[in-house]
Amino acid sequence: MAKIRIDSLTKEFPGGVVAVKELDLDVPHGSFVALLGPSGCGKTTTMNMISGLEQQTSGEIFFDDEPITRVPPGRRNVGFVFQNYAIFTHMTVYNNIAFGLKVRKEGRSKADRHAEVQRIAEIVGLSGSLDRKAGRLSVNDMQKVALGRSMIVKPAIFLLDEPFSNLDAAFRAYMRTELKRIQHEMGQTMVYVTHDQVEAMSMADRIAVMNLGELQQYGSPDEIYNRPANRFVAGFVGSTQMNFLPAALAPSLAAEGLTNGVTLGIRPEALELVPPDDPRAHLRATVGLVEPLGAKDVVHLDADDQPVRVVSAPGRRPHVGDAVGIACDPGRVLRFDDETDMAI
Amino acid sequence: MGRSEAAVGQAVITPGQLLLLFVIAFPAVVAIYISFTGWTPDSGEPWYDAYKFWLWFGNYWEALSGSPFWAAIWRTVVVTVLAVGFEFLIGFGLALLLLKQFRGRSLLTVVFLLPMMVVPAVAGFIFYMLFQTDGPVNAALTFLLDDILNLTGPIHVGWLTNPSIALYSVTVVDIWQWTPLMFLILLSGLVALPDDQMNAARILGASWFHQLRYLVLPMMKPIILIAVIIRAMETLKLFDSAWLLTQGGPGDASSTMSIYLYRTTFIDARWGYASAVAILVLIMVSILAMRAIRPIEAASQETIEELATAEPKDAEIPIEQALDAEALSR
Amino acid sequence: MTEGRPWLTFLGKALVILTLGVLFLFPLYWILTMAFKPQDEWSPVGHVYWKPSQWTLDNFRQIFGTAKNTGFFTAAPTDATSSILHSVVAATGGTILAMLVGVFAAYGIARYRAGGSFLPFQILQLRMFPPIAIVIPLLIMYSYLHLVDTFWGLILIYGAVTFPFVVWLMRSFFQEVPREISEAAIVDGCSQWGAFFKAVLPQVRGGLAATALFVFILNWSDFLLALVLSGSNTETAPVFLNGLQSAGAGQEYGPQAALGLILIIPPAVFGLAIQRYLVRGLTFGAIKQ
Repeated sequence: MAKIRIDSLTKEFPGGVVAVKELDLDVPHGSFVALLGPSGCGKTTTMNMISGLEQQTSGEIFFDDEPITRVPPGRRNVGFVFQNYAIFTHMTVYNNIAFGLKVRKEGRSKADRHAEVQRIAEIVGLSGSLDRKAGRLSVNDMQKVALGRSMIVKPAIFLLDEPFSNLDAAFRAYMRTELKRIQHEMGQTMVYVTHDQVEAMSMADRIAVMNLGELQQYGSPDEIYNRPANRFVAGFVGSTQMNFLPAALAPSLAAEGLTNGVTLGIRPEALELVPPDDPRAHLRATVGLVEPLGAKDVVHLDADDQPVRVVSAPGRRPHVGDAVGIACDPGRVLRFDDETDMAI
Repeated sequence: MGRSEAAVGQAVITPGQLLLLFVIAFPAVVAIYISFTGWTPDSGEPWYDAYKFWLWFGNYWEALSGSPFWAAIWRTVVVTVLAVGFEFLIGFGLALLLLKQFRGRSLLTVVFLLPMMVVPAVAGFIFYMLFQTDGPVNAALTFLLDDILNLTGPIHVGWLTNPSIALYSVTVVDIWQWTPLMFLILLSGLVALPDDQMNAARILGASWFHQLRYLVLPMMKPIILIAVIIRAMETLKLFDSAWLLTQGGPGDASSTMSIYLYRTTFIDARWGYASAVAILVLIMVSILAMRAIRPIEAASQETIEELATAEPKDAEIPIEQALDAEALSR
Repeated sequence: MTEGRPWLTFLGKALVILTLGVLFLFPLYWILTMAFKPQDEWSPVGHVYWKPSQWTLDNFRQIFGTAKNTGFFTAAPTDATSSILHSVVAATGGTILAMLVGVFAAYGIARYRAGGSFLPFQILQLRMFPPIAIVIPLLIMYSYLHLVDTFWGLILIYGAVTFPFVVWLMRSFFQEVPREISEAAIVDGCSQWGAFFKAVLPQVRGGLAATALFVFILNWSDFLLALVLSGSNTETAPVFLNGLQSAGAGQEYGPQAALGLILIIPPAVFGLAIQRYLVRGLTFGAIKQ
């Protein structure tokens, strides 16, 4: 277990590309932090700097208040699980898992190593496959090997770079719960990179949302979801994207009569479809498309050429072309300044 | 496969088969015939009357029981093992050094390629000049060891005149010429190694030595095998550069099998005996080829397999594209 | 390894690369300078001229027969002009023959698996034979067919000896062309031959050029076969070079170096042009760069 403190971390590549810009981040002991953002936002680069595979241009990283810039990757005591597993395909599963022990001069006897490998194989569920050549495993098993290989050296910090994105959906869900379970048991600090906000929301204690190399917001899933700091975070998180409406469109929702230079952000779940002349309606719209998703419907509407999405219960499904009113809970309306994109 | 396809297939390889017949089949038959006789062109008889000098297996017996034949084989093996060994070590070291991209690497690669392009006969001639007892190699060694380090007196090694050394001089020429090929082959192998696995090993604490022993060498095995086998095959046939360098001398100190055969044919003019030796060589080479073909085919297969299962490298998606994709997926 | 002192590793590496570079380049430097050295600087006793004190074209004049006195040590002629021409003719002819035979055969093997699965092995075996081993019967056959000291004779043997390379190389190039291309052509009404010429062949233009250059280098570099099978009418340049060696008691470095230099320029130029394919060619198509 270790805590990580990132201080003003910057990575600039030759040619002027700034992948990470002055990142400040505090990862407490034993917590699970997700780095969330679209491709190219700098999350993988940040991970590489934490692990030591890349050197920062400026700024510092501390493990337990010790700066680790000059410590080579092999000595930082981190575990790293790659998106493409990067297991040693030409070795057996046994040798993959045992690798970390074999190359560290820890004076362990071969019997000790053997016991450890068995133990880890048990935890990740590979006890029966130890003799198989790693290159011939199924994708799911490869991921288990990658995990086991990293776990065996008991790293203080675990770094995972989108480890489940190549797995099939059912196994992905299973692995998420497994990972949380392992983390609770072993108490490791985990930093988890993903572009999938569902993953981040379900697994992390705290989420660091990044975009274009800059930290957008760092907080609990609840904070990120309900009190996004800016328009990017608001739009990025949420399975059906948040609606952004110019305040002028629904003046009844704008605060204190502010209608210029403000954009309203409302989650589709906070909206309700009502008859067009219902007094509760804050604005009127026409139904464009209805997506039946089983437990809910996503209704795409057009209000004055402005797309609006509403999540409604499947009971009262509207028809394409219907004129409807949209009602909203004013307490759930977010406001964003048009110039800075920050929440007001 | 359709009949027309099979017909076309046969048609296109017929000229090739004819050439093979011409170059292998007929010579083999003639050589076998002559090898059972003691015929030489000096005898005055035309070749098809060689039966007049019938010896049964006399030539074969002479070759297999006599030392010149085995000595020539031994010398050839020595040159091959030393040359291929050093070519591999130096080539591998060079490939490791030039692995990371840096400015001027392409220029350096060209420089290291040049020896391979030199006509082997000319390479032999160049080293003939260099290895003269009065020549630049000795002069440079004298400068280094005598003038600077003061370890020895002036150096006058008889690279070409000393029977104990001549064979190794021949080896040096081959090393100079063909290390670049090893370098190229091994470099192409190293470049294809998956970065992620190397990084994973680094994070687990593997030193460069560990990475070499557990990752690089095992993954390079097929390529190394192909390179070594092919180079060895070619070195066994060595003639051109060695001939220009020493003509097999002094005496027969540097007579590899090809040179030995040449001298038996054109200097001793013993065509019957030479034919027997040639047939023996052909048999040995065929056995080697049969042993070699399987590892080579297996190795090429393995290379293909490894490339197929290796993880694709992460693509660098421009930020705008990525955001568009995200927006579209909503 | 040398954490915190990367400049030390860099220095070490640079030193090794530099040393190797010098070692590999020095022989080339030597022949280059020797070709331009005046006679008294070739091999004076007890002294080595690391570079010519004055650069002279005399050696080249010797080689091309335009010098005032021929042969320094002997009266043997040093005019190599015709031998160079002979090399050009033999190498080009051999290359054409090898390409003609090999390209078709390669297509047959790649596309139709002609000759069964043993043919590749047979061709490999062919490459393993030392040419010297077939020299006696070859010489016998050639004198019987009156092919000794003729260009056709040389072209024939050059083609035979290098066509395996063509097969190996072109096979790997043909394998990179998807079957669909020739199948589409056949669907459009072409015969098998038509599909080959119009659809497949244009796809491998680059490979054809590279293979031709590669084989030309091989034929140009030949020494032994020409030594045995050529005579005064067809003597190629490497053989002439060897002749200068024995004629001048091996001491006429200048003209020899001039000839050698001329000899190695075409392969160097072609070789650099086909750099990308060198590994493929020299490993019989097993390894692609």
